[in-house]
Amino acid sequence: MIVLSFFWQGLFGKRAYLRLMEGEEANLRTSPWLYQEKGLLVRRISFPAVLGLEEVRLVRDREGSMVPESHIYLGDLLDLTERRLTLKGPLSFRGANLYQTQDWGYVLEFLLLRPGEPHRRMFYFAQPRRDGTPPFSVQGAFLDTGYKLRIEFYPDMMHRDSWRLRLPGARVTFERNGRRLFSGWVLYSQRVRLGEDGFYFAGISRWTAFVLTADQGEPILYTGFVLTILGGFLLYGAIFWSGEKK
Amino acid sequence: MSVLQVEATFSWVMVLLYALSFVGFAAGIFWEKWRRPALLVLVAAFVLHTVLLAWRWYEVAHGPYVTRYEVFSSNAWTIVGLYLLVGWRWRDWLRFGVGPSGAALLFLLLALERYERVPGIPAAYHYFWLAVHIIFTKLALASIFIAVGAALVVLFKGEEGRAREFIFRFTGLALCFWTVAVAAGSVWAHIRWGRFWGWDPIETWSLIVWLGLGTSLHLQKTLGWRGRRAAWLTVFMAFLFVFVLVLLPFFTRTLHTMYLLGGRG
Repeated sequence: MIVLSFFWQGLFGKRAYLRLMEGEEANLRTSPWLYQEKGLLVRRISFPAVLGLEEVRLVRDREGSMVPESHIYLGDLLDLTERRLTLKGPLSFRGANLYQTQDWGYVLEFLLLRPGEPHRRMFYFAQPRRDGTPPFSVQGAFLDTGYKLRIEFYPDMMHRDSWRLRLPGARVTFERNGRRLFSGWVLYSQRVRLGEDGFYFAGISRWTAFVLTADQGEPILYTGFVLTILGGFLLYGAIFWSGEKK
Repeated sequence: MSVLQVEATFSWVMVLLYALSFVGFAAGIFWEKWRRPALLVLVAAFVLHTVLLAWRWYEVAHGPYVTRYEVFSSNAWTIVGLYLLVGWRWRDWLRFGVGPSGAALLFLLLALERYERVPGIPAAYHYFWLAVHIIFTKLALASIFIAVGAALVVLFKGEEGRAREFIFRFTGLALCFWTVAVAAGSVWAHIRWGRFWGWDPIETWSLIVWLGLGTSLHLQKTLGWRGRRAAWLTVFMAFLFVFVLVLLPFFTRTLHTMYLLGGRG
């Protein structure tokens, strides 16, 4: 039964990793990034709900690490339920389980101000170092403008190892066509001029990630475990006690 | 005086007592008169160990499974505890104490190799199934080292009969406990991360240990492996346990590294 449960999970199990920023809402019916992570038949998860992330709070666990907990809303557009999701356990909803992961970071919003054009904006999901400390790093292109940004973000420039937002700033490098145009410190709400273009450090929020699973074959696996344990104890337990009576 | 000051001092007293007991039981394989003093010393060490672990538990408000000192020290305690419990019921089995006392000495020395102060508990520890996983892992470890005690008697004294029976029974018990440990770990992983099995090196090797225990039992029962062959098989299985629970975490950085070695790995 244990082996069967692995086949079940491979054939029918669904698993997705979702990364959301505060204020973002995902329609899980249609989002293209919902997919079956493991299994023979790659396909979308049909999870009839909307998932929104209100806020990511950071709490210090007793070992001293910062771990995220999320305030989310879940349900249909006209019937949303607010919930708190922590590392302590999943949230079961309409046959699926939603897990809080330990992943979190800051989302940095940059605006491109160009004369005669509407503002264009881009969000960068910056990740902390492996041990969860600053700087929060990210690199990527700015839409289709040809600009590339490399960002190292510090929530508090005065205390570089702090994760608290006090005096946020980042070391930002702008490149275009392989040429470095700017490299230096940019404080939150500051603007960088690159010829006629201007980049404005416009927003900071947090992101976190969730794991969504469904049809993992739990009943088959648990039945397998119970049978194996019972079988083991019946077989060897019987030998253990009966041997003594001889 | 805090528990840590007392513990640091008395841990070395325990090392001395476990060492004396081990030497006594080793001599007891050949000269019977050494067994009783060895057993008395082992009981004294166990009582002291129990008091110190209980005191630490009370002071730090969590079980002995967070730091490396706690993990290895409680391994030693479980091995001796299960051995004394079995010996209390079946007195003639107490003569196989060389395995448990030697294993307790080994784990206590490993524990003291990195003595750590009082940490908090990571969020992932707050689960019933994790406690079941840890308890049954330690019980399986204790069972295999009790079987090793009988195996050493077979290997060094050539004794069969009761020792052979003892090897088979405790290997069987180790398999039962290991099965529960793996199942409980799997349930915990599902609750915590949404997956039952992640093929992390420790998980993979724990499957190998489970298959090894089953193979060992079948070789003894159905293919008639007896005496020295069964004894060597048991020693090999004990080595596999030590490899998975002690050596492997030093070479790999996985989730289990933190839990087996304490702290952040």
